[in-house]
Amino acid sequence: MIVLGIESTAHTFSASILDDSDILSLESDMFTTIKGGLIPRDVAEHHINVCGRIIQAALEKANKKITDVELISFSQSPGIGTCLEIGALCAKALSQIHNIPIVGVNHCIAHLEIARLLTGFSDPVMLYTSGANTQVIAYQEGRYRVFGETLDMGVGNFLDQFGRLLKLGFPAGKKIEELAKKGSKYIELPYSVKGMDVSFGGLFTNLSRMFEKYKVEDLCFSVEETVFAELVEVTERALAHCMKNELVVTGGVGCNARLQEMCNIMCKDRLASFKPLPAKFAVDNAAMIAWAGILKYNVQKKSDSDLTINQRTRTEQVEVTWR
Amino acid sequence: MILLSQGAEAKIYEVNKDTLLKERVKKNYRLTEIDEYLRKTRTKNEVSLLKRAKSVGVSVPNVYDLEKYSFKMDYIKGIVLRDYIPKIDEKRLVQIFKIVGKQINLLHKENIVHGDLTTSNMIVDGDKVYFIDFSLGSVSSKIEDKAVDLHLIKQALIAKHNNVWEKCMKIIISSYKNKLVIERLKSVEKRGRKKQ
Ligand SMILES: Nc1ncnc2c1ncn2[C@@H]1O[C@H](COP(=O)(O)OP(=O)(O)O)[C@@H](O)[C@H]1O
Ligand SMILES: [Mg+2]
Repeated sequence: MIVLGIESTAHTFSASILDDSDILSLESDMFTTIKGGLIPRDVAEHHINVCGRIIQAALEKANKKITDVELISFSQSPGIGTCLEIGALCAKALSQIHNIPIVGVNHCIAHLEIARLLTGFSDPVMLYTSGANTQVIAYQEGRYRVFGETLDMGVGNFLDQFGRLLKLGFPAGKKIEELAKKGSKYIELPYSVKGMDVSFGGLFTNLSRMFEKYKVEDLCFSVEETVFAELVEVTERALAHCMKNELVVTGGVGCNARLQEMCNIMCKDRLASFKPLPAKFAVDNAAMIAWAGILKYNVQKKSDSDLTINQRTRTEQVEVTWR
Repeated sequence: MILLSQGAEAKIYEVNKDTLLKERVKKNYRLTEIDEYLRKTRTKNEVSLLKRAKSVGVSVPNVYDLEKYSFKMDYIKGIVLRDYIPKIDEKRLVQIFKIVGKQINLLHKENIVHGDLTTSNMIVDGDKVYFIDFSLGSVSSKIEDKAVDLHLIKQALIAKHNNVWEKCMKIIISSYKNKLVIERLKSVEKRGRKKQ
C-alpha cells in the first residue's frame, strides 16, 4: 500500500512516501531562528510556505503521483495548534480532492512505532528526548504509557537555553556535544531525579548563577554527564519496573553519541539490548507518521471519522488497536 | 549471602532469615564522581529517612550497620503491594489503601517526602503496609515536593494497576489532610503533561 505521511507538530514540516514498510522518500524542512524559540504564528507561516513543495518533493523522490497514494496519514496530536492545523489541512484537502482514505495519528506513538520497525525490537522501552518532550514510554496493558517524564522543561529546550547562556547559537545541542568532548574537569552540579521523573529548571538556575566562573568545555562536559545520567537512570528504572529488556532512544537529543554510549553501557550491564536510530528517523519526520498510519489503517480498514487536531492528547489516551 | 532482588540501583541480599543487606551497585554508564556521590548520599539519606519515619510511627523496617554504600535492615516477610493488588478483593483493597493513605499523610505531616512512591516499594504484612526504599526521599516542608510525591504514586498506579487506580487514588486523597498539597497536585500534573 502506498502511503503519504505528513508531519507538522512543531518546527518541522515533513512528508514521506512509504510502500508498506519500505520508506521510499522523506522530505523535511525545519523552521529555525537565530535566537531560538518558536512563535506559533511564524512557524505556521513557514509550514504554509513549504508544504506544497515538500509534499511534491516526497512524491517525486518516490517516483509516485498523488493518484498512486492509497492512504494519507497526518500527525493529529499533540503539538502546537497552528502547526498541527497546516498538516491536517493539507491531508484533508488531498484526501477530498483525490478521494483517498485518511487517518490521524499520535506523534509520540509514531516515534515509537518507527523505532520498532527500524530496530526490529518487539517490545522496547523508549526514551524520547526532543526539544519539548522528555518521556520514558513503554507498552503495558494495551496502551503506551508514560513511566517517567520531565516535571518542567524538555531536555532539548534545556540544552538550548544553556547554549544561549554560553552564546552558542540555536540549536545548541550539537555545539554542546562538540565542546563537551574537549572538557574533562567535572564541575559539581545539582542532580534532580524524582522517582521516575526528571527536572531541569533547578539545574538551569544554578548554571545561570555560576557559569562565568568556569571553562565552557568543562561546563558542557559536566552538564552532559549530569543530565544524561539522569535520563539513563530513569530509563533503567522503567526497564526494571516493566521487566523489559529492549531500549530505543529517539528525539533530537537521542542523536547525541555520549547519550547513546551511556544507554549502551547501561543495557549491557543489565543484559538488555540497545539500538540507536538513524538521525533522520530520530528527529521529527513524516515516515513515522506514514508508518503509524499504516498500522492503524490495516486494523480499522476505513478512514477516521474524527479528524480534529488535539494539542494535548496524552500518550495513555490513545487506543492501540494494532498490538 | 543469597541475592534476593536486583533493582535498578541496588541489590538486596539475605544475610539471615531476619536480616537483609541493601547495597548500591556501581553504574558504569555514569562518571565515577557522580556515581560515588549518588551512591553514598542515597545510602546515608535512605537510612536517616527510615529512622525518621520509624520515629513518627510509619511502618518501616528497622535499620542497622550503615556502611559507605550499604546498610542492613529487618527482613519483612510479606508480599510486595504490586503483586498483592491483583490477588485481592475490593474490601481488602480499600482496607490496604486506607493504610497507605494514612501513612503517606503521616510522612508528609512530618515533612518526610518519599521520592519514589510506587507499589513496588510497599510490602503488605498482615495489617501493616511497610514502606521501603527511601533512597530518593528528602526532608522537606515544601508543598511542591509533597504534591510531586502524590503525583508519583498516582502515575505508578495508573501505569501498573490501571483497572483500580482511580479507586486507590480516591482513598489516598480522602486520607490526606493537607488541601494545599492536593490543589498543587493539579498544577504539577498540568505542567508535566503539557510537555507531551
Ligand atoms: N526490608 C525488606 N523486607 C522484605 N523485602 C524487602 C525489604 N527491602 C527490600 N525488599 C525487597 O527487595 C525489593 C527491592 O528493594 P528496594 O529497597 O525497593 O530497592 P530498589 O532500589 O532496587 O527498588 C523490594 O521491592 C522488595 O521486594
Ligand atoms: Mg524499590
